Amino acid sequence: MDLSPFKLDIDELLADYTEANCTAFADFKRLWMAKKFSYIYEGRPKTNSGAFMQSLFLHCIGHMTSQSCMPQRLAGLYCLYCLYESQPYKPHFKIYLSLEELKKLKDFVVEAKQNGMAVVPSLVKRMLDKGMILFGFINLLGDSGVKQVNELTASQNKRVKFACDKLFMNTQIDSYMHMDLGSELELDKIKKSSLDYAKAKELAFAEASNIIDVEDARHIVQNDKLLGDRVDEIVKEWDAQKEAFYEKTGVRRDELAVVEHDESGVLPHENDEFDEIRQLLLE
Amino acid sequence: DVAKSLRYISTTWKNKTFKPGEHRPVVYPEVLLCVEVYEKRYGSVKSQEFLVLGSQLLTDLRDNIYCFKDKLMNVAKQHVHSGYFLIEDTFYNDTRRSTVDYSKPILDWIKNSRNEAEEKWDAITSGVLKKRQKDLLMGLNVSNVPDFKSAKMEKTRFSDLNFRLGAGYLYCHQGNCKHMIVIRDMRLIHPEDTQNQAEYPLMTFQMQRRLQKCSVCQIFHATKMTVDDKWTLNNPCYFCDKCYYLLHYKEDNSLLYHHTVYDYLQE
Repeated sequence: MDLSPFKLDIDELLADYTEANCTAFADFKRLWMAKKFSYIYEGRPKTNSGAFMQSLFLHCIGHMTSQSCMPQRLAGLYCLYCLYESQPYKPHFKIYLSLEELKKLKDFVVEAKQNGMAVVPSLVKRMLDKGMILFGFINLLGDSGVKQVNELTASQNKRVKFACDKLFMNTQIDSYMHMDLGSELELDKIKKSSLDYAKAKELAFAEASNIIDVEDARHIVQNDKLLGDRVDEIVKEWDAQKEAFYEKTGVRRDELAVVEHDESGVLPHENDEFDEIRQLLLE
Repeated sequence: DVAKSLRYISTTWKNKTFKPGEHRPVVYPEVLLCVEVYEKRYGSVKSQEFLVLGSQLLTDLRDNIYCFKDKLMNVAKQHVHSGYFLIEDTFYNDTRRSTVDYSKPILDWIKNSRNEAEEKWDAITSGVLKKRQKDLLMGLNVSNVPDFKSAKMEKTRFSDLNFRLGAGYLYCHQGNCKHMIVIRDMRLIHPEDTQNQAEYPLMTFQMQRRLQKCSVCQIFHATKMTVDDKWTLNNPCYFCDKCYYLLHYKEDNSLLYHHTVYDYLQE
């Protein structure tokens, strides 16, 4: 059932009334009869009569509650009333109004009264007295679809945010990546201690040689590599590997620090290894 | 899709359910709910639709829901009156004539097997994740298991419920016969609606049920069903009483030949 031609007819009628810059109901009736608009029902479907009527009503309600100019909204209300009164079904199909639409109708009546259009409160009162309106809950003017999409998007964002937090939180790897092995091991202290130890060893050995034969223990003094020097080499090796890792991954200490404070959790620089994680999340 | 939902707010329906003798006027303001009941076997097929007053008890709706399994269990003398509606996080149990609480095993399982329940709930709400994705999202708490409760169906009114329009809820009876119910619409009652409380719930839709006819005469409804019957065209084959005895028994009421026969119950 395609209702687009009916809606186009209604749009055309309302546009003509808006262009005429009138506010009287008699003018609307005159335009309605000039267009022979009651014949719109000659094209009505044989089944789904309720859906057909409610779709026409909804289209007028959409105009009435829109943000356009006052004559346009006024025309929507007039058209709604005329469509109800001229419908061929017995008993008449009622106009279904949701809570949001009812509130907008009330605001519209208040605004029309302030603008001196006394016909609007009278018309709405007549509609209420004749029992034309069903007060329902479902908003049929398209909000629910958007709301559902928003809910799904929010749920998806929540999951992605959790995944980012989980993946990029501080771990042992993070501490190792930025560890200064020299300061961690207190390299300077080790060097100083090993140097003092070497000197003490030499002094002891020299004094002992005056008393006893120390030929068997000479190899102790001849050890030419200090512990401090060896630890220093290890630290240099560690720093070199760390620099290589930085080059390979493109991650720097300061950049990762910025990432940690960024709520979005998005890395400033992309590279292959993180692309894999992103692909995994998108599966 | 908008036209589809518009179908349910039409008020022009025939009053199929008339309960004579009683007349209780509707107290204003009153709310009307449009409730749909779906088939168990074909979950997308609607079997019944009711208009229910907001002031009515849930048991009023339950008593009007028709399911063939109720009829079958009655015939088999194994009918159980228990049942529940699961609406949001609450089981509404029918305890009027039975002490069987169908929700108790479920609530016990959730309490005693918390991890299994959480895993199952997460699978229901999130779909089955791939293993690698699941490992990555270990510890995810986006969808926690709700705190399920139970209440009495006969002490709860529709106006006491927390529900969402259009959401699918559960009606369970006879142990494991589960139907989806949907509260499709909610509106104020109109002066042209039926004004007698006793006539609600009003059934506005009933799925047409096709009755099985006798395969021989094509006139009467089937009351017998034979299986592995060598003289029949179909297996199983349906018979009315007359045709069954004419085909399978001699004039002295002795059996003509061996076959398997069952009583057939029309749905």
